[in-house]
Amino acid sequence: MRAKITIYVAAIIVLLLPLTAPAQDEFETLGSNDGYLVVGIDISGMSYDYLAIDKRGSIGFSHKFKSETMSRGMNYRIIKLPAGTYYWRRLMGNFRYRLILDREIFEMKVEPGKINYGGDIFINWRWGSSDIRMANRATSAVEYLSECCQHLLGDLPLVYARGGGDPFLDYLATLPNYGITEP
Amino acid sequence: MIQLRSAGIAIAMLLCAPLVVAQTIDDLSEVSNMSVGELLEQLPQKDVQESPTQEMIRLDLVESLFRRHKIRDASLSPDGKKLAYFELNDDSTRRLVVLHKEQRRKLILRVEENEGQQDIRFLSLHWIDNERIAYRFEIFRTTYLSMSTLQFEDGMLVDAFNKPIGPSLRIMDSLPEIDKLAVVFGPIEKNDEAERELRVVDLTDPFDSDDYRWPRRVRKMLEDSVAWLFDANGDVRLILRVDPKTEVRNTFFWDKSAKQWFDLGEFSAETDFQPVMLTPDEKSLFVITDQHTDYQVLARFDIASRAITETLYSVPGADVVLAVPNPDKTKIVRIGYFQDGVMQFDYLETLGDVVESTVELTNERTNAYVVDRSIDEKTLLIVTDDTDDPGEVRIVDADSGADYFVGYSRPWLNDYQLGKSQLVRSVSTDGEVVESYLTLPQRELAAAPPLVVMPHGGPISVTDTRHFNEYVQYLAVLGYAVLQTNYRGSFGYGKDFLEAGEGQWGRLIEDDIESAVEVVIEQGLVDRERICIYGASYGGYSALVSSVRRPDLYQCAASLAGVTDLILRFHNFNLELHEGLREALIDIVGDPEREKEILMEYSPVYMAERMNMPILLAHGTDDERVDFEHYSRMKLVLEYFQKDAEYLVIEGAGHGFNKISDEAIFLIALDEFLRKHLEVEFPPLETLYLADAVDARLENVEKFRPEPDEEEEGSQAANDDDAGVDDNDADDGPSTVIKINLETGDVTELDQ
Repeated sequence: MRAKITIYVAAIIVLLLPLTAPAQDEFETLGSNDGYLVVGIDISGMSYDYLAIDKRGSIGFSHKFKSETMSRGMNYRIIKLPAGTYYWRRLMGNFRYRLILDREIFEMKVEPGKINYGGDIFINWRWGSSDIRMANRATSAVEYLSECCQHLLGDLPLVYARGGGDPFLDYLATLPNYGITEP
Repeated sequence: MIQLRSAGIAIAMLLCAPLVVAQTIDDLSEVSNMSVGELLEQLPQKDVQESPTQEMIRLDLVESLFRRHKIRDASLSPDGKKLAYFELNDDSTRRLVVLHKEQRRKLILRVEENEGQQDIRFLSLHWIDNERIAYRFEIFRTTYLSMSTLQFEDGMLVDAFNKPIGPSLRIMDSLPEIDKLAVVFGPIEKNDEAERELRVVDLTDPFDSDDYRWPRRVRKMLEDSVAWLFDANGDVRLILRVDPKTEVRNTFFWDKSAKQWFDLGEFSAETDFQPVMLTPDEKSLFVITDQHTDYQVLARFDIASRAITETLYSVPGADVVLAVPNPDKTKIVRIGYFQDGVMQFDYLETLGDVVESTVELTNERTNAYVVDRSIDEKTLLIVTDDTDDPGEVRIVDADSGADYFVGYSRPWLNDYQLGKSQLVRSVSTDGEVVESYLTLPQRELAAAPPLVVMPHGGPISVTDTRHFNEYVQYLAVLGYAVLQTNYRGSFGYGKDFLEAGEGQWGRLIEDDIESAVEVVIEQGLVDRERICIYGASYGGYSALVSSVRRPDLYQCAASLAGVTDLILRFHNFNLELHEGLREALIDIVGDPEREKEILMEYSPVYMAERMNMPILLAHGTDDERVDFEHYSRMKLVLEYFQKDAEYLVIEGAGHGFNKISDEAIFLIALDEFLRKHLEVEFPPLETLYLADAVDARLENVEKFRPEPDEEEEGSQAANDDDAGVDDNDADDGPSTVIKINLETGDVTELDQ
């Protein structure tokens, strides 16, 4: 009986794992043309249905971040994507409200074999007007990655996926024992 | 005046303003809504236990420096007989009052009081004519325009009645020579969905003012304009349009007789071109510009040829920063510029004659300014302002010479021994002459005082002055000398000096600052062994860089909202939205792509290993100008290299303080940091206050005594018993609660 309970508990833990932090196995399936995109999504204001990123030049591709999978405040997400240029495409509200974000400033470039930090997006959706902005909060992203998936930081270089790059991430990789792979 | 370039003193002050701070990130949630009283309880326990009196004294000093003024926004009626202003009540609310100078009567028109769930807050006032005052106030984050009409009986001012005009309306020109009329911006229609527009209206009947509606062609052009210039009749004659993407500015002139707009051409954001008035013949404009000279001058701009044709007024070695026309807009009567860090007014035309004849103004008060006058220029409103003078307000009658004292702007500051400034000139490494201001503690000291070097923000187009500065006085009252340098890039010294600061982050700018420090050391004015550097924004950057450049000169460095990574400056969302802003930043900082290595070389985050002096690092979490990431990166590397650093954060603060509790948190932390590392003892009370003000000041200080909680009280009582302390003494606790108005930052004393 005790063994049975142990198995049930173990099974529940295994089932819950993907909901709390990315499983290590998930990150080992990176194809030769794939990279990881890390984004921070800060949510406040009215509720919405989903936030989507599309790929430039690829009709039909869309990755949706459902609001039901995120909490208020900052949410970090890591997704595996084929190399290319992606952009925050739209914020879809409940029913008929939506916000089209398709502008160059919302673009992120995913390079293969790398962890591509796409910046943090801050969404404060209100009646009448919405405040959406982006910021480079790389130190928070590094802190998140260090806690959730240090093995990734140890295996793959971390780069800034928005215009111009960020040499500070390269610098962190040069610090002895800091735990970030040099590009 | 159309402001075409951010070069004004208000902007300078804004950019210079030091910012935020708190304890640590973990403490943030409670900080932003604290009252000063609550804040006191939250301060590190060791401080309260070791030296509670110091905390109380500093809180009192911060409140004195940053609370609302006793007299604010004083304005003369067109006939010069009445003065309207906002006056502080004992409970820290304000009231709108009218003072009748001849009748010696003061009438309260309205007070800031609780309406619904929130206090109203006065914003501005304008005389519409001799009997009417329009005033704006805010409540529930919406602004309203109302008007007070004065009532007279047998010529005596006896009463007034208030009448609301409408929400979201703003007076753009009060047209003081025309009864009842004003140029107003806002929703001027009866329906609820009216669009904002610019119109001349009769304020006694604003929504039925079609008689004053401008031609359609005028109204159409106004739709995309951002600034306007009016003639004496209230007709719009000049507008400014700005391309949101390129930032290119186009100015258009409305030719009234031809009934058409005339394009005066493009002006880039770099071009200084501030129209002041249209000449009476309507053939030219008076403008402040540096298009054809190194320094800003008042010049004539010919409309037909679209060219500067004549320099009308210039000041050797200084930029003209202000030119004020008379009410009927036919002549310039006042020119403003900085000389030796002090604003100088040159009075022209009849006003000049009047001022010349006013003996006290010209001879006894070097920093007295005519800020308003009657239409006939016979009555002058004068304010004073100096390093150690927070200001007083007077009315002078030009004919009789009578000088009517209205009051002090902040009378409570007369209790303090405020520091006095002096001019310092130094020669930088490349021969550039640099101006600085050294403020010394007023009291006599046995030895040279410790020095806080305080570089201003910017670094371009900002300037420090020798006018009253709350942050300088906070340090001076507490015993520090303060040095402010107008390094290259500072405003007021001409175009070449301004542009000389571009691309000099961590280089010639810091050479300039250090040259000034060396001069005051050589002159024996400060203790060369006790010098720290502290600044906000660029000043914070400068402090961090200087900790590596000159460990021989400084003992510690404090940065508030400082830039720590020059390339990260370009990852600013507003900058990404506006290409023109990015180009401007490249000019100021350098090109992050072509000069990447140089920008890294001069970024503090890459210097942390070499920072070998105590560092105070402070930042607000909602800073949209210098993102909080600058703080996070610096903290990360300082911790990695295990440097001697203290970290202060405040939740919700931006690139500047807007709450008095934030001021208190930061300034107390700053004083503790400086005092610890400069080994300065807290000054005795008799050196903080003027001799005859000590008792009154200490009485006020008492209201900041923290209320012990029950547990501590019991513990304290037990300790007192042990120590044999008289119970009566222990019971003599305070009975006052301090409330902070979160909207205004004002402190209110509540009875328990």
